[in-house]
Amino acid sequence: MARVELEGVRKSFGGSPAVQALDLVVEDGELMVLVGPSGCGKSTTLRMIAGLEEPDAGDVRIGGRRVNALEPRERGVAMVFQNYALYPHMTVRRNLGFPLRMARRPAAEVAARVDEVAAQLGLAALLDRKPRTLSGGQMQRVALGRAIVRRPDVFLFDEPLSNLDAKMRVEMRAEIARLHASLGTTMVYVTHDQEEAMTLGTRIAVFLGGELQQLGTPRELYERPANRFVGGFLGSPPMNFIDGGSLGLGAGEVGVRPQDVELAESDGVEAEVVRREYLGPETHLYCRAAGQDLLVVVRGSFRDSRVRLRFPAERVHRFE
Amino acid sequence: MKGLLLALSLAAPAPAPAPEPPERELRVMVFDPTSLTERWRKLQDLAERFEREHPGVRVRLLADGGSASLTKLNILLAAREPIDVVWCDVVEFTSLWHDGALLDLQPYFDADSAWRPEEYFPGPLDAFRGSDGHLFGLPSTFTPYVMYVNRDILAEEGLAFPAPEWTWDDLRDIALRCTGEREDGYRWGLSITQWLQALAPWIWQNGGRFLSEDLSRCTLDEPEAVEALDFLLRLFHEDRVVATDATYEGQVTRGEFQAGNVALYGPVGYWEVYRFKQITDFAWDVHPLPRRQQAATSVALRSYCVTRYTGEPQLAYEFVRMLAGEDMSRTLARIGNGVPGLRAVAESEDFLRPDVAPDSEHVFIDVMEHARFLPVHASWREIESVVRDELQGALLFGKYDAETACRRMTDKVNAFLERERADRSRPRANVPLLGLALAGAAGLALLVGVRLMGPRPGALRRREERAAARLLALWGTGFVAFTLGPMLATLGLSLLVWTPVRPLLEARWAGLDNYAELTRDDAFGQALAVTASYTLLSVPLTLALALGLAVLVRRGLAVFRTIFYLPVVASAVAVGVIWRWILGSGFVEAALGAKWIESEAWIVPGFVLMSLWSIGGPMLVFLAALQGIDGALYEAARVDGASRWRQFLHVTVPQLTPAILFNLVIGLINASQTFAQPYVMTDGGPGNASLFYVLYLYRTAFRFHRMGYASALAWVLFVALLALTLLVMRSSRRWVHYEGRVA
Repeated sequence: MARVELEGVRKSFGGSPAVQALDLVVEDGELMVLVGPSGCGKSTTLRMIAGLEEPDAGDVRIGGRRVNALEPRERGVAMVFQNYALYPHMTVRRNLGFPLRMARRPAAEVAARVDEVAAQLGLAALLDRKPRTLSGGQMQRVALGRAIVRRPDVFLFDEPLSNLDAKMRVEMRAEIARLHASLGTTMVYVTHDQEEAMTLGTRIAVFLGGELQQLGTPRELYERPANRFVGGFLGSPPMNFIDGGSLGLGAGEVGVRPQDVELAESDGVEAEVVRREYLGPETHLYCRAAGQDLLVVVRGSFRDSRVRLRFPAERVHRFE
Repeated sequence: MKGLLLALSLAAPAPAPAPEPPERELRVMVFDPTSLTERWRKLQDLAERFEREHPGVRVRLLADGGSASLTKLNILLAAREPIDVVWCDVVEFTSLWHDGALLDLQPYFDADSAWRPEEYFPGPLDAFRGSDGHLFGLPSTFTPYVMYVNRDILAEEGLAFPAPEWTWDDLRDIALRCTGEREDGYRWGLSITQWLQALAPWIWQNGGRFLSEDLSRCTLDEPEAVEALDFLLRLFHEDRVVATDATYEGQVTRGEFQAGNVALYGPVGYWEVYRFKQITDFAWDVHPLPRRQQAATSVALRSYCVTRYTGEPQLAYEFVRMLAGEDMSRTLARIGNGVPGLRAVAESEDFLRPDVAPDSEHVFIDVMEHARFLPVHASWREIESVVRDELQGALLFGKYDAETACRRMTDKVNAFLERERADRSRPRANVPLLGLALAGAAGLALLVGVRLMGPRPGALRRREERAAARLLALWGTGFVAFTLGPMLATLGLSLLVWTPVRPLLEARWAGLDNYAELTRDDAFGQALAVTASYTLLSVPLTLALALGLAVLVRRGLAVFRTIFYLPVVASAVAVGVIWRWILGSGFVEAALGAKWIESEAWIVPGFVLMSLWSIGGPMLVFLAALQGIDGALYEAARVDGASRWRQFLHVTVPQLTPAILFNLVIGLINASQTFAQPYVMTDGGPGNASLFYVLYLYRTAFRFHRMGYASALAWVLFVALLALTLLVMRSSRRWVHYEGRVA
């Protein structure tokens, strides 16, 4: 159990900054998701917590202890990698036991812990197989098992689900959430997938260009994005950015989520439905109103080619 | 490589093409390690004169020097290349005579009214008579073995120059008096040469002999011979008055005598005059060998002879007469090539040259009265090789006492003589039938193999396979012609006794006797032991260091990769020459306590050390494999708590196992086939301490011309390597991890 603190942390690679003056606190027992497009600095941040990269400036503290100069193994962290990084020549059993063996724990303890973790993750039947005979989901389970077997203070996840197919991804997401709930350990989770971030995170830190854009609960970020980037990044389909003046929403650009646009009977802005996408529970309407394109999501199906749109004032976002 | 050398040496002296091709050609092969230009010019002179006297005849001179020239001649003869006249030394002559490669010249002498045998020294002339007294060649120059004396050292020690009739005791006294630390460094009384011809005089002087009169058995175990060797051994190991530089191989280097550190050097021949001409800082001379029961010396000779395969026997004979004639003899005498075989020239000032050192040139003629010759009817080349190892073992290394050494030499020579006798009585082999049987067996094996490959494939597969067969045909032809065919031929040869200069149809049937002989062959055991110990040391060491180096170089500058790989590109021969110098240098001696090149115990470790020179090959393989390892594995291991060393152990090594397997198999095969380095550096010495397997195989085939036995050796090596490789491959299932998923 530990709190992770980053204070004034900077890192650049060959002159180009990757992380700029980052202050971030991950509370004890929290699942913090670092999210952003590739190259935003989220992975670098995670790797600095792990000890795989050394910050150029600033402090990294885990459980109140400054760990800048410590090797990964001295930090009490465990990490799950995007490509699983299982030791290909070892059986699942030996992979799971590896961190314990490196810590020179007695063989009996290693065996007991491995069996326990295997049972927890449903790996018992796979213990004597080599990684290359496993499916992607199974491999990721082994990677998870290898991380938890040692009972670390902090779990680090580096895009653990991005190599899985969509169905498996949802399943594993639930698995990780369940693990977090049962272990209650601090977790830092890096992803570029906003949906993963929204579903998993206790809090979410949104990165862009090496800088933290906004930090908050999923709800805070969704409802009150601090800037245009955060607004556009979170939520699916993404937020519409339109000229407020032409739609009677005041001067300047405004952001409106497709789900927040309401259909009106008589008032509102008249729009033409250019294209419809029927998804079952909802339909996406690609509309054109006052010379601007915008996307509207409505419940159920929709057949008309013309529509009137209303923008509830409290759901219209204005960014500087 | 050999072929290239051969081609070059053949091409070099070829004259411009004549406008009209001559009707007849005479090809003369000259074994000439020194390639003196004056001698070569004289040869060309004679050739031109011969051409003038014989219109329509062209004489082509082929020069070849070095220790392998006889081998090359044999290959040329085996290939039935027309070589008519050969100029070679007596050991080579006996070898050729023994193999039946020489033409009996007696009928030509008998028909020659100008032939006067009394013009030649009788001993050297008789040395070229066959067992029936027929002449097979004429002497060019010869040299009896004498003792070289450093006059200044004797004078400094207050010793008189020894009398012509001096004795072994006198020799020992002088040696004892002269050995020890002096103002200008350590000084030795003696430097004693250690090959067979040089040993012979001691035995003869003591009333002993080498072979029985009928040449059927070796007599080195008789008391006279034992006593002679014992005398020498005492000089070496009890009196400690002998410098150890006078080995056969040591003659190319500047010796202790030349450096002015040795009082007496010998027994050795006239050729040293040529080397010692450069001595300016002390006075030296030549002297007869000391005597015991009697005076005796041995003689080294060079001869002109005609090969059995010549198409122009009469012309060849006439050219031999011209070569051995006065004109050429005078030139050779003036150059300092040895004592001329023609008496008149030897007694003239052309040879005696009062103005040039040594003063006592006449000694070379005087001692001929006590000269003895090795009988031509034995294979001296092989006997010499058998004896040389034992001699070095006894003299240089003091491994045995005189009696043991003599018994070992006797046993070995007798075994050899007996085998030769047995070979002569073997029945003629039916070579065509054997060839047919082998080809049939191979064809049958192929058919069975194809059948075993599985059921007849469908039409589409058959079309594909036909296309594949067409594409493979070219490679297949080469494989059959240059690999499979020779292998089968070798298998067939291993059942025969055959010398390549004789027609294959004259081969004799040995059955499995060649393989049976392996079990009794000490040299085979030694070759196995040397090769196995080298392989066991060199391969693991190379792998470990190559791996370590790869790990280091991977992080370093790219230029280091090139630097470490560079020696792999260098020619093994050039590298061998350099290492011969390094391992024989005083630096190595100072740092490691012995000149490794001269040490039986350290020569194999020396080769192991040298094998690290070409560590770049396996290093490169490791480097490539290292770069293929997923970096995330190291990060995972770091997070999982593995130290650097444990990352290496648990990530790097397992990931490299395919590369390790590859390097291991290739390394084992290469190490077992080590040849060029020992061939260039030690020729198997000292003693037999670096007799690598393939070197022994090469010697057997191309120096001793025992193709059957050499083929058996080749097959044993092949089967052993195959078994070893299969064993490694089988074990690899347990320790080699291959990447890639199993679906």
